[in-house]
Amino acid sequence: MGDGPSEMIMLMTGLIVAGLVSAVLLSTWDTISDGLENQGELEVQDAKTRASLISDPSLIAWDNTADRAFIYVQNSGTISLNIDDTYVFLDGNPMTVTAVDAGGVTWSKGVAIKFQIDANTDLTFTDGTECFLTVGVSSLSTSPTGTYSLTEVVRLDI
Amino acid sequence: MAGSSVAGLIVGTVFIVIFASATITLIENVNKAQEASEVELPDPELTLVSADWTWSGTEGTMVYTITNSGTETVNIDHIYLSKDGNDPFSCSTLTWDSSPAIYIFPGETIVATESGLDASDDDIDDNPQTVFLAVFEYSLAVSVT
Repeated sequence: MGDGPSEMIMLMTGLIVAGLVSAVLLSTWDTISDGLENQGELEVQDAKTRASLISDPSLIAWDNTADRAFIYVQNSGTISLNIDDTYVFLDGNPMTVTAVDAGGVTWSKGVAIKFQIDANTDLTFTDGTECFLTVGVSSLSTSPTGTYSLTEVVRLDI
Repeated sequence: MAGSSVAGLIVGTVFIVIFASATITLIENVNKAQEASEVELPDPELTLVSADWTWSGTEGTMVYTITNSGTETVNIDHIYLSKDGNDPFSCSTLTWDSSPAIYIFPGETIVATESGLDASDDDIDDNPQTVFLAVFEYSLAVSVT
């Protein structure tokens, strides 16, 4: 009987500690599990998101006066893309991207969109300059958002 | 002693639950990874056999001969051609030798004609040298004959 209160205190202490440890472990595992699940869904979405340049890369017309070019990009993936989320870098320079004659933001599979790309700073190239063109696209679906970027060498026609 | 035993029992049970959850999550992630690797993207393969240019004296005509050399049926809406770096246009805008020509099946060769070129004699489309074909991530270029 003399050990009764002491046993009770040990039991309660043990329960409290075990509860705390369990809560921490379960919470940590829940976070890890969610992260892994989101990563898996993101990989699937990324795999379905694709785009390709259908302008002739050996002859991309560049206007040195307007610092502008036009490129055509096709949705070559299996899901719709968001036109407004397209970004372009030309020779490492970020460009302002404007979709020409695009109705809305939905970019369906197989459809080619004409983009006007304007330099944010003065860019002067010589005829025949070969440089990298990077185009990035994102899926229309945002749960999660699939992304893809392509980089090609293009030859500028001045 | 009883306190530590119960605590050990609870923590041990939690570990078992977490291990079981980990196994289930692992299986789910393996399945997701497999799903990602099994995504079938369009993989067409076409051959632009020839692009023949003729000039009648008033207008030019280009005749394209395209063969589906791959294993996928290709919608001609998705095939784009461009001449000398000019704006690409969908093959569906051309006049095909068979009607309705919506798809090119594997092994099939189709001839398409683009007429009325440079009819206004404005040097646009005049005597093109190269034709570039692109469909999804496949592209090729040929010299005009």
